[in-house]
This record gives sequence, structure tokens and C-alpha cells, in this order.
Amino acid sequence: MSTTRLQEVLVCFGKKKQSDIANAQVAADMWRFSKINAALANPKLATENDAEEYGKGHEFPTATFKTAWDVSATLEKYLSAEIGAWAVCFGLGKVVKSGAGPFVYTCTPLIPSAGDAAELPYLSYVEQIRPGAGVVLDRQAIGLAVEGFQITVGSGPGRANSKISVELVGSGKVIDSATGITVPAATTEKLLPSASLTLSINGIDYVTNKNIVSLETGWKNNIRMDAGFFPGSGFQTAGDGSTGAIRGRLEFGNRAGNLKFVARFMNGSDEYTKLKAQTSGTAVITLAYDANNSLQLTWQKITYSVVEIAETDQVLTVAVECLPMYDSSNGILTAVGKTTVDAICQ
Amino acid sequence: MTEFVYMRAPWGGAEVRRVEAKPDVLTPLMISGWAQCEPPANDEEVTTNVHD
Repeated sequence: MSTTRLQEVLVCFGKKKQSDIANAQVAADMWRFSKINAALANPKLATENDAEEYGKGHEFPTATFKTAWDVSATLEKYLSAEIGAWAVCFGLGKVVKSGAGPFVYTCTPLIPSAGDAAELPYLSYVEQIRPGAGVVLDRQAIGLAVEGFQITVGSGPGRANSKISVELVGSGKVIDSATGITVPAATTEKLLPSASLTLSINGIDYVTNKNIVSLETGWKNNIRMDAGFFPGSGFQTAGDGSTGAIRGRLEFGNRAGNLKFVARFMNGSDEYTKLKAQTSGTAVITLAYDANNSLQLTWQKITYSVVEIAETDQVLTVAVECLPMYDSSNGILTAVGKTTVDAICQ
Repeated sequence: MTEFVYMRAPWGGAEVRRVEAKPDVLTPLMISGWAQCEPPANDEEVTTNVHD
């Protein structure tokens, strides 16, 4: 009896966006990546039973009912231009594509008060193990949205010092066998290593100063999962009320960005001064593979909310948490992903 | 070479602008509800304003 190693799992998901939350994507609209976390996107079925009902003669359940489906996934990867562009496009929601190769994806969060949608772009997510005659796993989750992404950059030469984690949540709609998807060839990625970082925060160039130790930044959509089940939201099998409800929408909730960093604390370090004065400024984070492959995040207005003097490897450092704020002219966050890959989130 | 994109006014407005595809140009428009659109038909008025 052979065992199945998790390294066999093939993962592909929407490079383009679905036409709506319920329409499954075809292989031509997806791309395939490797990942570094083992977790699978397991569909979960919530059930209820009749134990509490009267008229049965006892308090024990005699029947169960499929209530609703849930599915979520987490992608952890070494940061590349391709996955970085994809994460900011699907995670922020408003995208302007320019260029004819390389392609530049300029992304901002959706602003409903300015007429934008309250729903993010949707995508499908496929997992397969030994597809074909000896299939172990073949399923497609439909109608997923990016709940958030987190980028971490650390000190050191390895790939692990520049990573991204992307959290996906879904409508619950799943094809759990025989998806008919032929997973495309693996995407060739252009890694964005820690050593390529350029960083300017609140008027200080931390790379030129050789002060930066690590940083972490990301975005959270806080999607209103319960609000996805509205009257008429639909069922796992359309028209079959016994198959369990699925969500008909995934609206973002109160969104928030985050940025924190650790830098060497030296004579003249002004983080604590800026904390006391609540000095605001931009934070511009750029990682690049080459001129055609990069990711830049611009927090349009940040102040320092926490500044702690600490140590890293017995070197005096300062750990700073920033509060990203909304600037009346430029919003909160602009992300620019540059890659040679066309049609991301289109 | 300067790249340009077309942006349509918020709330389904009729105005279409041809603007430079630079973050400092696009960002104020994007957060104000302007969205990328296809190049307009020849009979549609387009405002070119690279400094907006």
C-alpha cells in the first residue's frame, strides 16, 4: 500500500478573476504555484439535527440536516513578483493594468463611498493529488476572496527572509471530485529577495543607513462571513435545498493595514521623537528581482504607535509599530506589482 | 516611454480621461472612484490631463 506524500499536492488558482462568485474558473484562467505550508483547503460542512424537536418521544437525534459549507485556504510562499502582484490585486480589489510587458498593476483598496464595490474579486482554488486513474484528491473551491496578506522581510541571504502569506476565504461552493481541471505547468517565479529591499519610512532611508533588521507589513479585509448567507444565497447544488447553503457574497468589513519594523538604534535615531510628536509621513517598501519584476507598497500616511528599545542578537534595536492612516489625497495604500505576466485579476 | 490608461468617472459617469499610468497620477483618481476602462469610441469625448 503506497502512502501519499503531501509534496505531491498540485495547487492552482485563479490568475484571472471569476465572472461572479458562483462561476467556476477553467484551467486557462488559472496558474499553478508551489507553496511552503502544508495546510490544505478543506471544505467543512456544518450540520444540525432534530434532537431539540418535540414530537419524537425522546431527546435523541433521529435526523441530520446539512446547514452550510465553508472553505478557506492559506498560501505561504517565498515572495515573488508574480505572487506579490496577484496578492495585491485580489487583496485590495481596485486594479489598473498598464504596459505591454512588463505589465504594471497599480492597486488601491476599494472605496464604496466613491462608488466602488464592497466585494473583492473572486477566484477558484484547485488542489489535486495524483489526478487521473489513481486520483487521491481532486477538488475545486469556487468563489474565494483574499481575506488578507502579510509580507515579512528579514535579515539573511535565504529565501525564507522574504515571504508572503495569503489567507483566502470562500463561498463554500466546492466541486469535490472530478473537477475536469488539468493543472497548468508550474509558474516560473522571479523571487523578490530581502537583499533587494529599498525602504523609506517617515523620512528615513533605513537601507542606505544600513539600519533595518526586519519588517512586516500587510492588509486585512475582515470579510463579513456571516453576511454571505442571505435569503437566496444559494445551495451547494443549485436548486437542491438539502445540500447545504453557500454564501452568495463576500463583502469586506472594517479593513486595516499594518506595518512594523525593527531597526538598529543609533545615535540620532528619531523614532521615539516622532512617536512623541506623532509625526506623520509615507512609508515606501520596494522589493525587486530586476527592472521588470518588482513589488512596491506605499503607505500614504503613517505615524508611530509603539516604539520600543530592545535588542536583536545583542545589538540595540528599536521596534516600531506604525499606524497606517487615510490620506485625503492619496488614500491609505498604493501597491504596484510589476511582472511579465499578463491578465492578473482581469 | 510614457504609458497611458483610460479612466472612467465614478458612479458610471460618462467622462473618460486619458492619464499617465503612474502611481502618483492614478492613486488620487482610483480612491475617488475612477476606474480603468477601455479606450472610448471615436465619438466619445476624452479629457487628457496628465497632472490631475
